[in-house]
Amino acid sequence: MGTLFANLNSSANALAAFQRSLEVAQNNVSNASTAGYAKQLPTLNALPFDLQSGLLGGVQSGAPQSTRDEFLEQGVRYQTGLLGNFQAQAQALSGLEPIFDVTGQTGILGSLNSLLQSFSNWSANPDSAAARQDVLAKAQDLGASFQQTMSVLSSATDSIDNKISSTVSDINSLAAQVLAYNQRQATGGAADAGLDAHLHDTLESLSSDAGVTARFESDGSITLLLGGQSPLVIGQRQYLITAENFDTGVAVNANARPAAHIVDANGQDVTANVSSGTLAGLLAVRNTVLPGLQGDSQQAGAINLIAKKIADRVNQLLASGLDPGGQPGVALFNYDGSSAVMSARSLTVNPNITTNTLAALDPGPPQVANGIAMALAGLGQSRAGTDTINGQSIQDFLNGQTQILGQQSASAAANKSVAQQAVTQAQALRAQVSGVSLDEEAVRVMELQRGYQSMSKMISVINGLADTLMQMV
Amino acid sequence: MTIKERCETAEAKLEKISTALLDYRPETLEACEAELEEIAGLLASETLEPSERPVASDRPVLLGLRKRSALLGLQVQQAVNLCRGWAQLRLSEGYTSQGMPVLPPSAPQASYEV
Repeated sequence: MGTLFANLNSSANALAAFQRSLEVAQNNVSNASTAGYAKQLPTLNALPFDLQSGLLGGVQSGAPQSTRDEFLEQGVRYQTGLLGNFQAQAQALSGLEPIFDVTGQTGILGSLNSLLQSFSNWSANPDSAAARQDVLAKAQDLGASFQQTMSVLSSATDSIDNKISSTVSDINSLAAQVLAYNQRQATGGAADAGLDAHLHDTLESLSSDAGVTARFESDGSITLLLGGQSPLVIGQRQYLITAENFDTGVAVNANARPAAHIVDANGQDVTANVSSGTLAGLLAVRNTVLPGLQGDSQQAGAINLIAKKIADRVNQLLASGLDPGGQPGVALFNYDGSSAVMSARSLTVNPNITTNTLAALDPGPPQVANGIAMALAGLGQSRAGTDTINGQSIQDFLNGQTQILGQQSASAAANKSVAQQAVTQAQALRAQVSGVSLDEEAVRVMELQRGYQSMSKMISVINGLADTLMQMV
Repeated sequence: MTIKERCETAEAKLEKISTALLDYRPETLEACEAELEEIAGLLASETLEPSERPVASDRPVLLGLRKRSALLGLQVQQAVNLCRGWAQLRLSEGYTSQGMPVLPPSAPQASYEV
């Protein structure tokens, strides 16, 4: 009886092993579309064989083996981080491009061209009331354009600040999921393909948000570091990060928007550790591109430089001239000079100026009736030291800013496209190793079925041969 | 080789196949199929010398062989049914009038050429 039970036991193990291998295949098929899932392979372990002890050998199903390759996973995460970075930059920069109309029809460039044209018309007919009125109207338009541009830049800054906050919140939330995984590992949770899939999906999402390094520790837990340095999760403890706006040095310019920073749980500024992902892209636009245009605590910003230069030079030229009544000219523009970052947003037409106080006459010597108006008409292209910004004429400098922003936007879009291809390729490489192929699983089962059917026929033949031999007895 | 020896050898091979079949890989099945062909060769009555023909005393060993063979047949049929049922339930879009699973058409695979 002992042998019979041993035989039955061996057969039961065998059936369980066979069914287990089918279950693994079934699990693969069921999770073919599960994000982060890595194909599992069934394993069979040999059972001890010793007839004298009643051990009949056979096989027993072992724990399924994951096909996950952490090297490939890291490759995907790295490329996903780059993609997140360029995607965020491309999106933010494309929103800024309309500010600078390359055709020169609208925006600051369009308004400046119109003002310069009105100066030109005025110089051709210095006594014309209509020409003078047009100068005032076009100056009004230019002031409005500067204010509108600064308003758009301010809104863009607010929008990016909100995105930074929500990305940081997302990172903390995803890190909390890794923490939950660590806590489960600490309580001795068994290996679970579904949990593993969820973990790797979470790590991929984190990589898209910010460059994170995931280190697999010997106790089964994950150590999560921001930029390879700042801890997000270590063991069973999470370190929250926050987004804050502040200036690090002594502010040169009052009323400037402070820079955006990422601060760790200890209050340390860890912005420098954010090297990839959406967060890095947003920070690059927020702390580099936007301050270059609207200024910050240390720099005036290109728009303010242009506004100040136009206002100062126009006012200086008018003040050096004489109006039709023989009085010194009145300033055309007013702006808040208390801070270098206030010029553009506060640029308005002097409320005290009238068509009669616009000074077209250059007293000389020699006296020129339209001398000031002509100098104003040529201000945009003037390369005189007093008329230039960083060695460039006002219009060239403005065109240069348009080109720089356009190039940054085009570069981010191109990098995004390349990064997208790299992510797709990295994912394809991973899928070749860890992905579930429904065809492969189907072929595996159908091959098995055909093999067993073929054997079944052969066994029928053997049965027939045994029957023939018995009939001979 | 006597008929008794042939039967005992065949029965031992059947047992070995029964265990080996637990390794589900198609190549294992091929190896088992080759073993079954060898067993068929052992039992083919045409290959028996007149002196090797079975006698009454060989009946118990023949019955044992017949039983062992029937058990293996059941084991294999069980495996066939499991595969077919699994394929029908998990992979197919339905089944044919003969009860065979109808698999969905394969999706085109992306390829990356260097």
